[in-house]
Amino acid sequence: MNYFNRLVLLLVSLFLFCNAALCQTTNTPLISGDFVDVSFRQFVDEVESKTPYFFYYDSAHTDTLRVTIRVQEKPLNTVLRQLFNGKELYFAIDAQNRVYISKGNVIRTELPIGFFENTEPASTTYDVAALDYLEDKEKSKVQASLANKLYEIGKKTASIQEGRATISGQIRSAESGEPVIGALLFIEQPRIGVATDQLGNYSITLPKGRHELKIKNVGMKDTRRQIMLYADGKLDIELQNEVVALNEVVVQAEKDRNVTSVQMGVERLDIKTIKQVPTVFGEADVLKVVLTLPGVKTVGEGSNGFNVRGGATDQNLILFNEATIYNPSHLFGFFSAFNPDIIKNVELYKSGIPAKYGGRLSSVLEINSRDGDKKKFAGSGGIGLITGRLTLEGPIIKDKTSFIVGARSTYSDWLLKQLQNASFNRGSASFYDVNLHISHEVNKNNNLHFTGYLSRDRFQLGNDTLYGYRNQNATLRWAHIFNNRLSSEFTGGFSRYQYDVSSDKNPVNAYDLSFEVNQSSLKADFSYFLAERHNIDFGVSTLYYKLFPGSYLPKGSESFISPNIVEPEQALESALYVSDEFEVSPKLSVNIGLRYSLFNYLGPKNVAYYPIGIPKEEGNSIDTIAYTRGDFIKTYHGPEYRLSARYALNQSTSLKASYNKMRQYMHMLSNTTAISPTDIWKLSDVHVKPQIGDQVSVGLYKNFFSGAIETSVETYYKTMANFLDYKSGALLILNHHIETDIINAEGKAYGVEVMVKKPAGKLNGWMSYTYSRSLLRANDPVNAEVINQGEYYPSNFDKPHDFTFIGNYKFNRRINVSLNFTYSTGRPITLPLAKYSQGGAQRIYYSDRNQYRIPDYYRADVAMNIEGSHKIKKLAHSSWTISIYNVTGRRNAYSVYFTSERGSIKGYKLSIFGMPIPTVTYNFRF
Amino acid sequence: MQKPLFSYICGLVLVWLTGSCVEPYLPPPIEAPEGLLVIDGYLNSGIGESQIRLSRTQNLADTSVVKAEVSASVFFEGDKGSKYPLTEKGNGLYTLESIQLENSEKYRLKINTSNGQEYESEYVAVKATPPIDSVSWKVENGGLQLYANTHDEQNNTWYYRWRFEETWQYTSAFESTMDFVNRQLVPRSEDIYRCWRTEPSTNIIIGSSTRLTRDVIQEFPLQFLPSDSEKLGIRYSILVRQYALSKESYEYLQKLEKNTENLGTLFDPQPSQLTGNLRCVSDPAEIVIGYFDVLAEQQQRIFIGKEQLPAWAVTTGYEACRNDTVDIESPPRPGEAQIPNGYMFIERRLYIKVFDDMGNIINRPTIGAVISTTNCVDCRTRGTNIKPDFWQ
Repeated sequence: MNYFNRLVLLLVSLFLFCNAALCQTTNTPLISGDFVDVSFRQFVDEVESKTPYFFYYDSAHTDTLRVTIRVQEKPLNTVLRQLFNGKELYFAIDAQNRVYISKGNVIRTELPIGFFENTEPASTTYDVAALDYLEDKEKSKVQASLANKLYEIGKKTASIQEGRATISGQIRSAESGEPVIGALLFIEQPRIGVATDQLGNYSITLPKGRHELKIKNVGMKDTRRQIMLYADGKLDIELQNEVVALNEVVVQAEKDRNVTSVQMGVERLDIKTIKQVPTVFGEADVLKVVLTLPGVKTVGEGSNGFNVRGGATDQNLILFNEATIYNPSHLFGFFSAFNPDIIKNVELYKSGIPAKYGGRLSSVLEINSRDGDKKKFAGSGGIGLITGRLTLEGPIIKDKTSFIVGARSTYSDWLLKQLQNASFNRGSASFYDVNLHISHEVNKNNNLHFTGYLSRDRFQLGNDTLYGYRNQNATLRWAHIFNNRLSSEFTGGFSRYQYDVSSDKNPVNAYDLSFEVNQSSLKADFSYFLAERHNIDFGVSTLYYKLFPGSYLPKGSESFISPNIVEPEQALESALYVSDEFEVSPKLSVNIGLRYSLFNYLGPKNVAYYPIGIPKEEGNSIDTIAYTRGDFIKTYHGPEYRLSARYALNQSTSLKASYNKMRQYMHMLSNTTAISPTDIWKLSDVHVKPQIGDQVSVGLYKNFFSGAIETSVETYYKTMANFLDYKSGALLILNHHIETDIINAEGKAYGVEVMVKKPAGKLNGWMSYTYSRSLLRANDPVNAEVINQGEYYPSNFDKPHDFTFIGNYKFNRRINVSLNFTYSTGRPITLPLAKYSQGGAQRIYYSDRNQYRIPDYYRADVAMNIEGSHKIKKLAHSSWTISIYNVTGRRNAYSVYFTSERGSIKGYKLSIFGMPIPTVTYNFRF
Repeated sequence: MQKPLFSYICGLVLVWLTGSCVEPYLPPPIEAPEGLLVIDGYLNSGIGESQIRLSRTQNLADTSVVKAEVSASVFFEGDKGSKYPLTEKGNGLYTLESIQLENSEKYRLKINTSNGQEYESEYVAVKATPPIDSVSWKVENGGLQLYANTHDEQNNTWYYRWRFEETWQYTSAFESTMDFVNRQLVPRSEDIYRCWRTEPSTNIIIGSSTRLTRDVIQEFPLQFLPSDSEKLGIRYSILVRQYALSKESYEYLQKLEKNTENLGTLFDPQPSQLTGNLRCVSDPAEIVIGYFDVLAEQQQRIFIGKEQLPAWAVTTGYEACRNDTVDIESPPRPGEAQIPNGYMFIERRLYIKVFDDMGNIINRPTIGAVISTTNCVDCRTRGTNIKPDFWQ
């Protein structure tokens, strides 16, 4: 006999028992009426109008049913039993007088109180002995039965007491045991919902009593739990991955986080989406996908770094598992430094930045890696034309500790050697990155996570200069749950970024140039559920910076190079924050946050002082003070307000607003248009003030077709103070008095971002249009140089119009095709105004800065993913990605420049990918 | 350092591609304000004439010749009262014969233009230039690399500029010793086969020893000639001129170089507005282009013969030259034999004429003239056949 039938039988008998129990305790409304050949719908309408019952049914099941029945003061269950007699229809009635009609299967609404002997609340024992037969077969049915089981939370009481109680717990993947981040838990009546945090933990406060708790997460099967809430308690839930939808009804409910959450200006991407977007070298690239989001721009393709809402590239805080990454790229920006196989998801905050984050003006890009599989060993990898990668994961202690390790490298070096062209095959270029992530569950309340990251780039040109840079990071996180209401996370981390340039071609001039940033950090973050309407986050953090701004040393004994070392810099950046997410009413929620940051520039250091009110020049310093170790040379501090609010206009529409103040104490110095590998970072000091940014943002969010289509319009206005600009031709590296070359500027940016997104389905993707401006002005009278007469001028990344389409269509389960289209206004450039002859050669005289634009940019890419067969049991799953970047082969201008060649002026347009670039990548999983 | 970086990236990306990364670009027409005054030249503190050239800027699209600034009064002025007026030589050139300057005095340039505007420079100190130690060369990277070497015992110079003049000997494609004038063969009076060509450097070549413990410049790259350069066909000479610069002057040239030469990389600096040490006294808002300097010159010349170099195949630029034979004995109409326009006589040649002009077989020995285009025969189209004085 098959298990399923047995289960049905069991459930039916349970149901009968249940109803009997119910009848004794509730005052059952009675039905009277005379129905002659009416439709089931009319019958329902009649009953609903006369009694408190409310029916749930699928009209497809009942449209053939005609009702002819005469009843007098009969309970509903008797009526329905009579009505459904001989038809494959079943019904169930719960305590709230809700009636469920189902076909072929019975819905169970409740188990009698005291049905179980087991007194431990929220036990995960299956409710019925019969289920044990199912064991590891047909897990989804187990899930279904788990969904129907009634969980008792808290110490059982004879009757439900008034008031509310809090349930907390962790949501994990049933397959890997990994915590599920951002899963949504909610009940519908009243509408209360929460999302799980970074460690998959949640806490939700509900009115005591009977609830159906629904749990949803992208990529996971939706599930629900029947709970009987007596008092505070714990409930862990395992979600199943949504592998392939088999013969099962998928209930598509509103995944309407964009409308319901208070957070605005945030973009979330999971790795599945990232992997669908075609890239130039075929490998999934986090940063390139981030660039397609509204409000994110770059100076040019293949360039390092990105600009968020008119901010500079150094104004983005890039966190990889909580560790700051200073250079997120490989190979001058053609690849991002993150291995796609390790990544779980990416979140970009453009406005409404949580109080938890600080230190950069424009955005926070949070990149989270996956936890390793806690149950079995697995691996994955890929082979592309330029790179290869391999990832391994598995348990160290089953269900307790897991690891995931990934490595990626390039064989571009080898490729170069194959080239016949002498000027290339003498060069070399290589990079690699390695990730290690270990997670350990000490017990239910304590989790440890360790992340290590290393990325390295080296390139040599001809036989001459050797360049190299390196990111190194390590973080240790301890997540601790104090109780149902208070959870915490303690993080210690270390980040280092360094680069070096060396040359030994000419022994007399052989040198080693290096730069290094070290950052150690400690922080504690707490989350406290004060009441069901208040969710308080607070914490404290401190960062210690040590910079070696540049050392230029002779290489070899023959070198005449005089050692030139710029004094190290050190500073402490600390912050305290608290924020309260407060649900004022079901329609209005606010998040009020305050962060207070404190920055101490520390000795030892010799600091030059200049007369106030006149330009700082190398020659006019009036005093130099030698500070010693531990001296506080300069202190900056200030509040950073983080406010956001959401007002729900209706179920699917909401209006949000936010205000942010940010302070930045660490700056990148760069006077090239794109980030160059030899740009340096600088701390705020006596002369370089912290950058301060203010942003106001308002947005309207609307979902259509129950969340199948998400739309949003966001506008923002932003000001930036103490923006750094430089004197003409300033030399930034090895500069002992950089303050004399810096110009104080200010910036403003504003724009509108419109987005239409279809997050799921056969056809999915998004379309966004942005109108934005980013303007700078250097009119401080103390500046030695006035740029553009002190008027506002467009920044290098001011591209007013921007349109992006990212689409993916699944033909079937094995083949899907992606199309990517992007258009933007050309970036501003400075064009020559006039030419003249000097020293026998033609030279050019430049106009005001950034008054002209390079030609508009547009590009289309396509990619096709072909999956191997979908047999669950096989040695390795494989897939192929075939992509063509820049299908139309348009020669988009990266820059336009004029140069004096053989005495005359010539104008050129430089394009980087001027042809369609086809690539093939093979990916595998085992 | 940036140029190869770019080409390298292109190379990497172009593994699959055949097209080039760079293509010519015509900017939108930009109408500049009226021509700005451009001042070019320096006060020679060594031996020799000082030259100042005055001109006006032009719109980018303007293809006419540079507009010279004439009828200006130009003079050098010392801060201790000396004054040296320059003589106008026409075409915007103003010169001053060699003078003895006081090392302790600072000098400036003053200009009064014919439209009544008055310009002046800042005072500039006299700075001596150390001699060039050597001009050296190496065969590397598939070509010839030339270097400058110098030092200052006093550790006083630190900033250097070089200019150079290259002269090379070459021959045309065909040597013609006879000429055919009025149907008569006459010996050529002039050698039009062997010539010399001289070209000045146009790029800004500046170097500094400030990063070293001593004021030494060793192997500063001046010029690179690829192995197939026409300059290396027979004999090559380079005259290197060296100037000591002030720090300000060096920085000005560095910015000018950044603005106009080392561009087209992924990491281009932003072009900047360049301000020299000149200003308009009568209208402070007016922009003046140029930098006034007081410079002394040191020079050195070297020669490099073909025999000193590897056996390189040189691209002479005459590769496309072909010769042809024309009949000068039996022209269509007797007595009208001549060489077509634009062609020159190379030599006489006896050949068998198979057909006559009517198409009949004749098989008759005939005297013909081997000819080629003037460009292929007369080397003077590219240089001069006058041997330079310094040539050895």
